[in-house]
This record gives sequence, structure tokens and C-alpha cells, in this order.
Amino acid sequence: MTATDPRIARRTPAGRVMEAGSRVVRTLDFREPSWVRPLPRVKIQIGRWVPGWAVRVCAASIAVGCIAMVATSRPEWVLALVLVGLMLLRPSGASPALFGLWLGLQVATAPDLSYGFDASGLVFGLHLLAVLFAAAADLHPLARIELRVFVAPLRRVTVIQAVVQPITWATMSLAAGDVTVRWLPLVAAVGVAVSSWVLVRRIARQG
Amino acid sequence: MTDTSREPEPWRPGSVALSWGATGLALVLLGLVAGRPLVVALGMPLAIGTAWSWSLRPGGVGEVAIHDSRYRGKSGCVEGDLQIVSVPGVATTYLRVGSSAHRPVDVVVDSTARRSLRLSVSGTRTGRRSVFTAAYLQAGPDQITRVDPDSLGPIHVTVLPRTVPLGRLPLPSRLQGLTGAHDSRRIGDGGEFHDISPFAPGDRLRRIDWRVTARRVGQDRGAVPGITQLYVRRSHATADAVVILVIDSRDEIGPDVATWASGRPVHPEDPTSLDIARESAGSLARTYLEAGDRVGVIDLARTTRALRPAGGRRHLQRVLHQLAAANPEGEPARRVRAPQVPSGAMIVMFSTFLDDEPVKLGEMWRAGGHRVLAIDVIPRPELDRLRPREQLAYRIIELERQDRFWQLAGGGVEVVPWSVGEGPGASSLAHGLATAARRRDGRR
Repeated sequence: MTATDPRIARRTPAGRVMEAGSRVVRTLDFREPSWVRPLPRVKIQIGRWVPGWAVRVCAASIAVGCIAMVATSRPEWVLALVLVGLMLLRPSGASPALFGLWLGLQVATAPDLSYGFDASGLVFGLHLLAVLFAAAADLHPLARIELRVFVAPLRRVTVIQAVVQPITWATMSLAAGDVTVRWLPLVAAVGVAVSSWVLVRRIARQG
Repeated sequence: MTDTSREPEPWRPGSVALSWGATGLALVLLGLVAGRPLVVALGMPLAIGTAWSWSLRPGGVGEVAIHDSRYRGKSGCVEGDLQIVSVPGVATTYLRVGSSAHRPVDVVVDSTARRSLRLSVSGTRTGRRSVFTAAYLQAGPDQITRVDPDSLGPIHVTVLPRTVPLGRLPLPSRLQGLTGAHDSRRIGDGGEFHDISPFAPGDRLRRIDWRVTARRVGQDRGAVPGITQLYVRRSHATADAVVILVIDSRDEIGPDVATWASGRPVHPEDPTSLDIARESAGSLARTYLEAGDRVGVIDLARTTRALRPAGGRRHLQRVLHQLAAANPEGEPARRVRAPQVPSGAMIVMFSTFLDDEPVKLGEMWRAGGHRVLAIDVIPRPELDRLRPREQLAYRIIELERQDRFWQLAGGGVEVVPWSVGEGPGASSLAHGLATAARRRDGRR
């Protein structure tokens, strides 16, 4: 096969076969010149945007912050960082959900935490993490995500956190004040659910 | 230009959002079992968020279409409008917009309201271009539900070649027709002075040259005094030229020789041989038609659809569209004889001369008495970065091409050179054409 064969330029069936063969040869040829100019990208006019990788990095940073609040030993850090690495590489996989479960297990097995910056940040961080990874899942790292896409999810996060945080504070304060009862978490859960439902209905009615 | 939209499809649950909801429920249960309020608090936002998003899930599917795709000469880009008609509940649309010889772009846009996104691709290519393919996927809030991805496009846009006015152009060795902008060798009305001749039946009275007639009175010996013979001024007749532009669209190659057989697409900002041929042929057609001549087009890749010679401004648009439609389309049928052209027409061939076919046709036309010009449309090759084997292959190809040019010149076909120091293009063709114009009958 010559490097310059007019049959290829002519897009004939034989030329197409030669072109495909040549492409294979070039793929295997590691001396592909570095000077090959990159093809231009299609231009699309959208609003202000962030790249997909930035959202992933942002979510991973939040995840590391959550780890810092609950991890106490080196193996825990290693396991958590492996999960964060997997989340960064493949946010659409099972690793984000596994990370959430791991976080819950860590909190469940840890000594009692009082409500404070740590606990509040943990609740808020995991929620934000879920929203960001849901937005970045199935996306190429170089994909552009319009910032407007985050407005509605963040509004929902704010509303839910506005309900969850005070109830968590109240519940954990009661727990810290030696009024710990087995049904307290259940009451808290029902309280959060009912409050959220009322709030959601109210917001939905307002449009 | 509009592409299709689609029928409503069932929404499917999004796996990522649902997995977060399941995680939330699991954490709530874990917290209840372990009696840890903080674990419940970790899980509740996830579960509530998922339930909330589910309650807002869309009922129908929005419409995505590309409208108004066309070439904008000012910006040198092909632009289009991608429109997203949303329905309540559709929160985001994932888009992957591509185009031939361009890298695709992935975007996620807000689709809570009707959107119109401007698309554009750059490039210097002419002809029929396939632009804007879009794969898209619509999703509900937090990607809780989504439809299967769909696609639209490509959109076909015709980019007409740019034309530049050229100077003096060569003419056929024999001009045909009864009127036009050029002087023919025939005697008739309208053109340059030819001679003074005795009045003969058929001469118009207004052609009588009274001064010459008066001067000749009595000069004829033995003649009786008085006017016995009238004299008329005779002039060359005017005629128009018939020019046939033969475009060899059987192959299309760019300046980067490494792309000739590599499977890599030619960079969209590099004009190909066909772009140069279209621009040069379009410029020639414009100049000839503005001079009142008739121009036809023959595409060597097709045995049909030749454009018959005609004149006028509207015909220029027909010529440009015919040139834009010229494209390599598989293996062309081998011609036994040259396409028929009107008697006395001049033929201008635009080819890469990568094979003997245009040489054979050029010689046939020349043998038929036509004046034939050959224009090489291979872009100025980029050689300095070629590998040794590619350089060797290019040298062989170039030597074969030089042999063909010698063969053409030996057969009486004029090979029009590009201006020294300039790359191929209509403007750098002017000098070579002006030189050819000085050789009226095509002889050197």
C-alpha cells in the first residue's frame, strides 16, 4: 500500500478498505506525529458553565471533608480515598452510594457526636455530594455544565436542609441531655419527613 | 433547515438518583436500628430529595430540533439554531453536538424553559457540507428519570464557492454566435473596422462611406464624371465565446500529504483540491458571464447532469450550485469518449491529474479542434513533516503528474501555471490566464 493512493482520496469501496487498514496501521504506530493539528471543536452558545471535571473535583473535595470528620485511622482513610478515587473516575457507578453507606456506618459505630459544625457539615456535605454527583454522572470530564442547571437542585437542598438541620439539632440536643430514648430517631425521622412534605407542598403551590 | 423531533417515549428511572434514594433509606433504617439520630439525619435528606424529585418527574418529552442552518459569509462559519422545546418537569438536556471534521462538544443545559442555542462550525470548505449532528437525552430533576438518548442530523448545507473577478481571459480559437462582446473573424455589424469595399447587394445603406466614395469619383480612367461606384465600411462581426468548465471531482485531497492515505480527515481550515477547483471555476464563470459569454459545466465524476452553456446572471447561480454539488461519489464510470461539447467551445479543465483520465480527455478535445486549458488544483503540499516513506511516495506521485503535464503540453493542451510565490487560488490564476489570453488560437 502506498502512502499516497488516489483510490483512497476517491472514496471508492477499495479505497475505503485501504483507508481502514491504514487507520489500523497508524493506530498501532506509536510514532504518530505530535504536530498533527487538533480538529476544531463545534461551538455552542450556552450560559455560564463549568466543566464536568470541576464538578467532580468539587464533589470529591466535599467527600474528603466528610472523611476528615469521621475517619480515625489510616485504613479508614485509605478505604475512603479509594472510594473517592472511584467516584472521581466513574461517578455514575456504585461508588458514590457505597461512600454514603460507609459514612453512615462510620457515624453509627463512632462514639457519640454532639451537634456542632462536624455533624451539621456531615449532613449538609453528603446531601450536596449526592446532588453534585447526580449532575456529573454519565458526563465526559470535559463536558460543559450550565450553571443554571444547579439552581433548582440547590434550592431543593436548601429547603430540605432548612428542615433537617434544626430537627437534627433538637434531636441530638435531647440525646445529649440524657433523655435518650429508643424512639427518638424515629420521631426525628417522622418529624423531618412531615416537615419536608409540608414545605414541599407549600413551595409547589407557590410555583 | 429543520430536523426531526420524536414521538413521546416512556421515561425510565435514573440509576444514580435512585441509588442515592436507596442509600438514604438504608441510612435511615440503620440509624433507627442503631438508635443514632445523626445517621437518620444523614439519610433523610437523600430520601426526601429523591422523593421530591420523583414527585416533579415530567409527563411528556420535549422537542429538540435544529433550525435555520446556513453559511454566513461574513463570519465564514456555518451556523444553526438548536431549539429545545421543553415540557413541565424536564429539568436538563444532555447534548453532544458534532460535525464532520470537528470535535464534538458535550453540554448539559437547563431545559425548564424553551431554549435556543446558537451552533457554529468554522472552516474554509465549500460544496455540500454535512454539519451538526446532535445526540441528546432529556432528564427530570436530579436525573431521577430520563428518556433514551436520541439523535438528529446531520444537516446538509451548501456552501457556494467564493468568486473573485479575474482580468483578461483566454478565448476560444473560433468564436461562434452572431452577437457578443468579442470580435470574430467574420465580417458583419458592430465590431472593429475591417476594410473598405465596393457596395454589393446586401450591404446596408448606412454602411456607405461617402467620403471614400467622393474621393474615388473620377479616379477610374475612362469613366464618366459622377458617382458610378459606392463604397462601404466593413467591420468585424461580434460574437460570444462558449466556455466549458470541466471539473474533475473524482478525488479530493488536502495540502497535508500525510492525510492522503492515512484515514485522517483533512483539517477543515485547509482548502482541498475541490475547494480550489470550485473557487477557480466559479471565478472564471463569473468573469466570462459578466463579459456576455456562455458558460457550461461538466463534472467528470458523473456521466449525467452536465450544465449546458448559457449566459446571464442567473446562470452564474446555476453554475455555482453545480460546482458546489461536485463531490467524489464512489468509483466513476470509465469514459470511452470525451463528453460532447459545442463546436468551437473552449475547455478549461480543473483536475488533480492523479491519473491519466483527464489527460486522455484533454487530448481528445484538443484533437477535435477545441482550445483546451488545464489547471492543476492540488493545494500547495506540506512536505517538511512527512516521514521518509511518505516523502518517497509523494515524489513518485509528483513525477507521474509531471509526466502527464508534459504529455498534455505535447498534445497541444495549455497548462496554466499558478503565480510564482502564491498558493493555488483564483487570484493567483489571473497571471497565467492573462498569458494564455495573449495566445489567441492556443498556439505557443
